[in-house]
Order: sequence, then structure tokens, then C-alpha cells
Amino acid sequence: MTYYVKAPKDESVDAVFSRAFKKIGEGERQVIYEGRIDVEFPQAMFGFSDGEFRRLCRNVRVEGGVKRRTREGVRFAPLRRKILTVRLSEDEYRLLMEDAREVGLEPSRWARNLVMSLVEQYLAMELKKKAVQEIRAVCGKCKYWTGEGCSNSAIPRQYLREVYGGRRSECEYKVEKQG
Amino acid sequence: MIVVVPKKQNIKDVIVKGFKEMGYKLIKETDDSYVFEGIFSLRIPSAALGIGHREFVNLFKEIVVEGGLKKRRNGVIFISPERKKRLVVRLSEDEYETLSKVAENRGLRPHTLFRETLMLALSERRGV
Repeated sequence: MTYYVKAPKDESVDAVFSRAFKKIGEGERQVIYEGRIDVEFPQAMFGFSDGEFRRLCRNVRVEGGVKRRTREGVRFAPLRRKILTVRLSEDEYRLLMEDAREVGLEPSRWARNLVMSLVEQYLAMELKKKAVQEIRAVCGKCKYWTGEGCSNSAIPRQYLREVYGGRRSECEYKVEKQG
Repeated sequence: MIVVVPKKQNIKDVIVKGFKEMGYKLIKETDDSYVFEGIFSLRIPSAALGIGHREFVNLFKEIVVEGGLKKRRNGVIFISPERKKRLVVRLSEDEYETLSKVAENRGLRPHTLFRETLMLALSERRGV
């Protein structure tokens, strides 16, 4: 779920917010950013005094999401409208409490992290699939292409990383085409 | 959860091994029965026991579960603890949608995937 953050126009705020949000609009006084996931910005990132940071937090508006002051800074998150419920026995709940306490989390937070690890694994797999498609598009006809990767050790990993990263640059290392 | 299983010569080894693999402790053994104590739910397929349908049905009838439930379906006995606690996790629509895709890939519903992952995490940490 996408959420929108409307922040007062300020260079240091923009520098910080642009790291995690996508800037989608800019007016005379405010900038609109688009966010999709939980993000926390520590106060130190802005280089603001306590008063300035408080004012910033007050003036930032969020649509479709929530902002919350934390000990360190400010956290933005999309609205969580979907609910997953699971019934547990007393013993199962006790084990869950033990595991959560070990890492200093509430049981529901610990369980949420578990669910999110599944989500992240899936997204990472999807990204990898996309990256393989990208690299195939660039290197697919090269004679060094094995079907899964490059067999030419002369091509440094940096180049392959660029291709995996989605930047379609020319191969600088004279990749030979078949035929 | 306490499970009392009748002692039958032809299946006793499989029963004891199966319960122990699921982290159950044998807390008492009498001439007629085994008494196990454990936390997690378990399933006993008739195929693993190598016994006929009638004997399997009788075994199911004789099993006593304290603090839990027993159920027999399609040649499998399910034993699960009584679940009175409720754990709630909130997700955004994007997160839920992705989880649904993960669940769909595994032929499950999101809630079932959540339960299975949770139980796996709890049991794996305890070497079950």
C-alpha cells in the first residue's frame, strides 16, 4: 500500500527523505514523497536541533500511512489493514514468548518479523529472476554465456553487478558474439 | 498436552519413535499403555504404522488426549493441543498480497502458511 508524505521544502529534509522515498511532486512550500515500506529516520540524519526536529515532525503530513515519533527519530509506515490471526495453545504461546523475549521483542512483533522474512525471501527471489532476465538480454548471445552466468573470468564482477543491477551498459571487455 | 497411547506389540516401536521425534517425552509406561507429554501437534498416518483399517480405527478410539483434541481423517490421526490464545499480526495490503502469492505457490492459504511457519520456527529452535 502506497502512502504519501508531504514535507515542508527543505534541503536537508529532502536529502534524507529522498534516500527512502520517491519524490513525486514539488510545490513552492512543500514536497510530496511516495513511500511503500516501513522507514525510520534518526534525528541525527537531519542534523536538526530538538526544537527543529519536533517542528518538522509536526509539519509533516502522511496520507495512507502513519508517522510516529520514536526514541531515535521518526518512523513512517503504511496502514496495516489486513489481519492474520493464529490460535495457539498455552505452551506454544509460552515458547513464542521465550523466543521473542530473547531478542527483546513483543510476541506479535516477533511473529510479524517471521512473516516479513517470508515476504522478503519471495521478493528477493523475484528480483533475482528479473535480474537474470536482464543479464540474459545483455549477454544471452555471448559465447561466454553459460545459460546461468559468464564463464569468462576476464570480465570482472563489477560489470556483471552492473548488469544484474539493471543498468544495460556495453560490455567493456570485448565480449565476443557467437558466429 | 498428555497423550495416552495403548501399547500394541506390532506398533509400539513406531509409536515411541514417532512421538519422540516430535519432541514428546515418555513420562510413564504401564503394561497397557504409554503416556507421552508434548507441546506440538502431530499426525499419525496409518501407512506409517502398517496396520489395517479396523485396527487403526480401534487405535484411534483408544488414544486419550488430555489438554488437546484428536481427530481422524483419511487414514491419519491428528493430535493437537487446545488453542485458547490468539496471536494477531497486522500487515499492509502490499505485504498481505505478497504473502498470499507465497502461500499460493505452496498451495496454502496465508493463515495456514503463517501457522506452519510459526510452528516450524518454534519447533526447529527446540530441535524437533
